[in-house]
Amino acid sequence: MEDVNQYLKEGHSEEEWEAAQKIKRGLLVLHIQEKVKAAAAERAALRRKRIWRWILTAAVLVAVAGAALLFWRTPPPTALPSSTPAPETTPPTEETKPQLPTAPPAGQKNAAPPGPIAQVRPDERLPNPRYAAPEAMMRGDDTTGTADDKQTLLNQLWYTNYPLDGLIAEGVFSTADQLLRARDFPAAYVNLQRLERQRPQNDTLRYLKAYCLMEMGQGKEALSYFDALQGHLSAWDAQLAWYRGLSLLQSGQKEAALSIFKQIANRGRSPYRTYAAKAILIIDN
Amino acid sequence: MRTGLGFSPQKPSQQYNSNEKLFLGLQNLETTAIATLQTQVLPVARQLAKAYNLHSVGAEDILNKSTAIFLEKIADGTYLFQGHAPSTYLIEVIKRVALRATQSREKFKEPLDKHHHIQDESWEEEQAHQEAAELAQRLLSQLGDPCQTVVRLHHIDGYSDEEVIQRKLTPYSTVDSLKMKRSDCMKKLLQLGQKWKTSINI
Repeated sequence: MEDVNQYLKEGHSEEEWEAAQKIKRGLLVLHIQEKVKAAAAERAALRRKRIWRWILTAAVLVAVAGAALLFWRTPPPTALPSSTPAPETTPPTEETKPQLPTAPPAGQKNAAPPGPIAQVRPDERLPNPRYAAPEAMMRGDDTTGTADDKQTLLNQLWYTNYPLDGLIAEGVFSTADQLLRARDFPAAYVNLQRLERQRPQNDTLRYLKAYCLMEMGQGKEALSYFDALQGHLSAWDAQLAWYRGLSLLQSGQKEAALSIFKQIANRGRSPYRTYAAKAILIIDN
Repeated sequence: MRTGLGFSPQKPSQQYNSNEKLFLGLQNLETTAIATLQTQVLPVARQLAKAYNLHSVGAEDILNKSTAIFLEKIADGTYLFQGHAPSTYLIEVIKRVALRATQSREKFKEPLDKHHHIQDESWEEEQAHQEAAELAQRLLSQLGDPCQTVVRLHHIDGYSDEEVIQRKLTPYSTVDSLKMKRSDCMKKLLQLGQKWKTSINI
């Protein structure tokens, strides 16, 4: 920076010198004040930069933690394989409510009508089943809990779906197919009984009948059909295993059901593993 | 206002990693050196502002004012580097500035004579510096543009002539024409200063 004194005239007076020194001093003080302002601005800029860096780091950490939490806490979303349109989100109307058997088979307890579907635990991400489970006949080795508890358990796990996976019900089965789609299980059962007399060894018929029995609350009878079908067709295996588990629960064989659910949950590719995981969680608790 | 942001390849703390380097930076009025010193001292300034109940004034204002005083002392040779951390001296200046601020509000009762290390002359000196700055500011305003801008850019904002031409901060397109204009302006400024001196002596 140039010296102010160089602008003084030759032979300047004392007063001129003093005035020049005062101006020189004043300009220096102003220069210093500007420099301090600049330094303060630099610090502020650095502080803003640091704050943004912290915010970004925090955001990245939150995102990573969120992703990790989602990855570990949420089972991969697997919808039930279905060829039907997506389930409606409104509660079932009178027409769409499950049709329970009008005349329960002999030996079935006169249990109270099914209560409201139990709420899924808050940490669960699975939606509630679309339909309540039919009144089950709680027979077998399970002696713990009340009928209401068991019904509540089934209601929480009643993830059933029609049409069945890998099964095309055509020709002679078209009537039963229509009735099952309409969830008119007693009528479908009568139709399937008639067909069974004509072709008792037909696997399609057995699968349809097993499903129909299960939806009518006849777990033990359904199980005999499901067991017979096991391993016949790989396309059916996953759904068959899940329905076997539900039938075992219906028939009161909780331990056997749990064992099947564990097998499903451990099968990496089964579309029913999320349901199985939920079942294990609920039964174990 | 010019800042050193983006021009410093090193972090400030690395660039001024010794007391001597920091002092030299302050002596040359390097913005980053000033910022480094202020960053070192800011926590103390905050503590003092809180202790002296100076929330309205603010630690930043006290720090900036104290830094300016400290830099003036370095510039006129009152503060000489003797190996000590410049921040130590700045903290003492901050204490004095904070004390004055509280006394001006009549809220602080501690007498000044408790601070024996603070000389009374320093206060008068600071007042004289402030008066000189105000005078320079006033005379520059009287000069008007373009003289005011030409002088300010060089003597206050610290731009080099090349930068002024490159950034087209004045109507002058060459360094020579700028220098010539500044020379005229400085002469006018000194004349104004002399008039002021004569007027106060009457």
